[in-house]
Formats: sequence, structure tokens, C-alpha cells
Amino acid sequence: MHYSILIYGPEQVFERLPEDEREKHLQDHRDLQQELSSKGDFATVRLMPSSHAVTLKPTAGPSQKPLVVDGPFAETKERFMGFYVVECDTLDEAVAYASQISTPHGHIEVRPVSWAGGMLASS
Amino acid sequence: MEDLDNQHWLEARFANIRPKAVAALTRQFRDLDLAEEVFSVACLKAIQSWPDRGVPDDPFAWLLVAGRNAGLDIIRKNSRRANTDVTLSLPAEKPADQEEWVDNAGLRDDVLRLLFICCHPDLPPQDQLALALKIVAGLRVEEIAGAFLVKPKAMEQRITRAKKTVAAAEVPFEAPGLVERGRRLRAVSLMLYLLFNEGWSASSGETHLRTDLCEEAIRLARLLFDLFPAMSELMGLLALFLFQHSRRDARLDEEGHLVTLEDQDRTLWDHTMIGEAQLLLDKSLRNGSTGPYQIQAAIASIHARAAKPQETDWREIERLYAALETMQPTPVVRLNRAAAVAMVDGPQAALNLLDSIGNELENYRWFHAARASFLFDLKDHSAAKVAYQKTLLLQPTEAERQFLLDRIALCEKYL
Repeated sequence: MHYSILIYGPEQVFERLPEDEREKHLQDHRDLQQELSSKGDFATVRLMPSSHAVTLKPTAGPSQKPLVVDGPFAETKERFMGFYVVECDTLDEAVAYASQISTPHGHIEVRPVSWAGGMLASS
Repeated sequence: MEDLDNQHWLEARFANIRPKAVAALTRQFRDLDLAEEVFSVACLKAIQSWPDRGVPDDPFAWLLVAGRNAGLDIIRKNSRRANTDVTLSLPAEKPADQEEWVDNAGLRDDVLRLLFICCHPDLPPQDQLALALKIVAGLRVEEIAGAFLVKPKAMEQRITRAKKTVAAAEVPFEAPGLVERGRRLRAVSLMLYLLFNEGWSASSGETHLRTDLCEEAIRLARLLFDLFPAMSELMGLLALFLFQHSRRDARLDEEGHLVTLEDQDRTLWDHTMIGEAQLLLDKSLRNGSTGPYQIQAAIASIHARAAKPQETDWREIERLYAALETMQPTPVVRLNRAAAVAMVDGPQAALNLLDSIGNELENYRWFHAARASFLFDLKDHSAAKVAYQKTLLLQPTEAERQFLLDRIALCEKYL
């Protein structure tokens, strides 16, 4: 089954860390990516800040055309920052991967993928 | 080791929360010094509490409540000493509901107000910047003094004086109306623009690049844009900063000499940053309205997109400067337009354009530097030499001074 590893945290905190600290954390990601890559297909994405987003809001008008507004969908304390999608045999395995890239100030959600398309064909 | 790691994360987290927290505490207590002080107290409490109990779900609200309680304690103590009625000086009690504290609509006006307080028109621009760096960004006085190349003691005095000036100003604390909010955003954007330029082009001294100031300007612009994500000119401002800053590693050579845009190794440009800047610029232009920051960002984007200097679309740059000049008819904008005209119509056309602003920019070193380079291209080496010498007298940075000396030597070779 595919599992998504969703990374949440405060934005612009990582950027304030000392260089060596940032490097160490990036290395954790590179290590994980290498491990996943040797195992098979995976996808990962680091997102730009949520302020850069646009949100499509539904409208009640007859055309049903959504309204495109600047900004993220929700003002939240923790922002969605990026994700991995990996093929794992068990939830424990996915949790183990997620713990490799955890930080003292972010939250990571591991959520099973119901269907995947595009780069990742659903098995 | 884990604790040490955590310390860095904690500090980064505090620094990130600081502008919003100090802004909200300033509204609460109407006192900048007290707001700064109680935020520090709250951070100390967090350092003692969080490592054991874990980071709270909402660190911002936690710090605000701790800061507010610390402030109320201080006010109680002071009023007991002064034997005044506590209830008079205490802010109205807030309900325990934390949600009110983290109400985003109120918060964005708090942060905007705090930055706006720093842009007090009676303060010289550099003092406005110093004040914003101290209060909003939370830089230490020594760091600010270093960035502005003055002694810490002198900077301390300037900041103290500036605080007194703004304390007397009485900026209203209720939520601003639309027009007032727009006015504040313009004033604050201009301050951030000056802050970035201060870092980008030092007015004098040996450090040509004071990237720390540029980075603070970018951080504050990000913060403001995060709070006002639909403001096109904020997107333009942040895009402009990012386009410029993407070239930071290519601007100085190994000996610390300035490298002109034309000679920069473009593979050293930060292309991730350029990508983000381009996205912001495109996004801002979808909204239909254009302002001066968007136009400047558009100009920077043309440079950023040219893989080689010869591929630069100077005609488009000239058009954009002409558009900018209609919005900001200043001699400095015309000077920049002249540089683009030189590329499109040649150095003589550019020199003619400069003639119209010679009086106003007599003491501006970029004016003489541009004139010198046009004269040099026209092979008028004696006039070029004089113009380079004039530039040399107008407090160039160390990197620029080297460049000018090289150029003067080159002129002499031709004479």
C-alpha cells in the first residue's frame, strides 16, 4: 500500500536555524530519499510558503465557476509544508520513515493513500 | 546533543513568533518597552518549561499569555510602589478564551501598526530602520550597530531617542479603516525597501554586501505578505527582493571586488529563489493593478531570465523604466532608464538623457559612475577619467573604490 507522509510545521523557522543545523536536517531528508529510491518508486515535494497559494472557492452562482482568491485555504497555526508518498508493507514501516525526518517543532501525519495516479500508479 | 539541537529550534521559533507577539503585546500594554520586556520574560519561561513538558500545541498563544501575565505583574508591582489605583492602569481583563488572542484579522493590523510606529516621519530613515530591527525583528543593538557601521553605544542612544519620539506619537490602536490600512502598508513597504537597499548597497565602508540586512528585509516582507496575501504590491516587493538577493553569491569576486551584473557568473545565481520571485511576480500581475515595486521586480526578472548578458531584453527594460518614470518621476529612475537607453540607443542618447538631471544628482555617485561609463564607451577617455574621479570622491564602498581605480588606470592608458 502507498502511504503519504505529510509534514506540517511553522513556516520560516527552518530558515532561521544555523547553517550546520539546517544541513543536518537536509541530510536526514537526503538519506531517506536515497533509501526510498533504492527500494522503488516514491514521490516527494517541498512546498513554497502557503502565502504563495491561491484558493478556489466555490460560488453559488448559476455558472458554478469557482472564485480564485489569493492566499491559502485556511489560516492555521501549522502549515502544510511538503510530503512524501512511499510504498510500504505496514503502517509501522511508514512511521519509521517519518520518524527519520521529524524535527523538534513540526508534526508529521502518516496517512494511507486511497488511490494514486500520475507519476504514481495505484497498485 | 538533543537538548542543544532543541535550543536552536527554540531560538528560531521565538524569533519567528516575536514580531506578532510583540505587536499584540504592544496593543495590550500600549508601551513598546514593556512589550519587549515581557516577551523576553515569556521566552525565558518557555525555555524552562517546554523541554520538559513538550512544545505546546499553540506556542504563539502560550507565549502571549505568559507575556501578558508577566506584564500585569509588573504593572501591579509598579502601581503598588506608586500607591496608585491598580484597576486604573490595568488593561481590561480578557476572557480566558485564547482564540481572541490569535485572531488573525486583528493580529495583522497589530503587526502592521508596530511596523508603522517605527516609520515615524520625524525619524531619519536610518533610525526608522534601526528601530524596526530592534523592536520587530529583535536584533541585538550590537548587531544593528555592526550592520550600520556605527559604535554600539551610539546606536543604543539613537534607538533610545527614537523610542521616545515614537512613544509621543500616539498611533491609534483601534483597527484601521481601508484607506488608513493602505497608507500604513505603503509607508511600511517603503521602509522595508530602504532596509533592503541599505543591505544591498552600503552607503560607505568596506562591507559591500550586508546580507543580514537584506535577509531581515526579506523576512519582514514575508511576514507582511503572509498577513496580507492578496496585496499585489507586497508580492511585487518580495519578488523584487528575491530577484536581487538571488545574485548575492555572484556579486563579489574572491578578493571581495564588486562584479558588475554583466560579468557575474550566472550559474552562481540562486535559481530556486529566482523561481519563487517569478511566481510572485506573475501572481501579482494577474490582479490587474501594477505599482512601482511590481515594475522594478519585472525589470529584475528580465535580468534573471537572461542566461547570458547578451540575451537581456534591454528594449523591454527601457519600456519598463519609462513606465516607472510616469509613476515615480525622480532623477534616480531617469538615471536607471538612461542605463537601459545606452544599451538600446547607444551611449550618446544616454548622455543626453543624463543632461536633464545633472543638477539634481550632482552629489550622487551612481550618476557620475554612469556618466563615466557612457563617456568611456564613447572613447572620450579624458572626460571619463574626470567623471570616475568625481565618483571616487563620493564615498564609494571599498569594492567600488577598487573598481573605480582600475577604471581610472584604464582611462590613463588611452590618454
